[in-house]
Amino acid sequence: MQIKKDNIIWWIIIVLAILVVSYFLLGSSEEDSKYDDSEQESVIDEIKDEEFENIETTDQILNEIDDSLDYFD
Amino acid sequence: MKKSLFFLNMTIVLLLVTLVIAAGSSTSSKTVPSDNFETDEVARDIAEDIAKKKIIEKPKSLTAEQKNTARNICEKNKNRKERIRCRLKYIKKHKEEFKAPYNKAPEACRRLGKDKMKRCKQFYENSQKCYLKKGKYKNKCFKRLANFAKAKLKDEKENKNKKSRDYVILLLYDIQEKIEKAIENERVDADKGAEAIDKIVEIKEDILNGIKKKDIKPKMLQLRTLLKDLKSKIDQNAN
Repeated sequence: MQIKKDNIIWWIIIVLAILVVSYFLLGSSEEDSKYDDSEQESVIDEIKDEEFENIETTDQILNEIDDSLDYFD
Repeated sequence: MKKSLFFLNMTIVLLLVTLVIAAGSSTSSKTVPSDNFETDEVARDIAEDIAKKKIIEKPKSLTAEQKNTARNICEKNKNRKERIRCRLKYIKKHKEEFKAPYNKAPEACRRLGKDKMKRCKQFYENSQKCYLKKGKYKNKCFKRLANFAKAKLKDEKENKNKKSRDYVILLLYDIQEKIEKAIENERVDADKGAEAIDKIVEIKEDILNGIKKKDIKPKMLQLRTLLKDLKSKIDQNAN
């Protein structure tokens, strides 16, 4: 009977280990796939639309690119 | 005793499986892109765009198979500028967006390593929704994709290098989209458009490869020169 009990405990430990490992694996792959789409979205959503710039013409876009280039390494 | 232990074991296993499934489904729901930032005005703009597109769209004369053949011909070109020129001619002739074959990454992503290419493709796909918007809403969409926390780049506190690089890529795509639209509407010549888009792709590749700004700035000047004569034609439909 004692041997059976030990077996069951070992099975529980193995199942638990598999579940813990798979949980972390699932979690980390989720981190990879979410890329840019979640956390910061809510931050920027709180900013009013009016605070953003209307950049539509080619000159405006080119100037915005030049300004942004200054923040490159 | 043996029976009760078996049932206890099964209960624990079932409980844990339920917990893992529940945890998994709750994390995945977090990643569903939220569009609730859109105002009614933006929704109206998009609806108008779609309506306009439907009016402009000419009846498609090519079958799906013929389109695939035409696309594959473009893809077979070894030279990037030739591939671009071929796609632009397709756009001009068929008055529709050139959809690359399913296994082809956007030009700027193709020479990247496996991981960078995957990210690049995903970024490109995510960005498509932004080009349906206009003005401030488009700018907000770009900044959201580039992970901005503020409305202006100068106010950002962290990762300015990465954020600015992603933002510039989106802005360059914006110019590219405008050139393609101008070619479709026969306001710009496909050869001149190909020159400009090839330079845009070159700059995007540099940005994605982490090239320093001192090496990118001269190429931006070259792009300005290439766009000098095209600007007025490209901007005809701009706000």
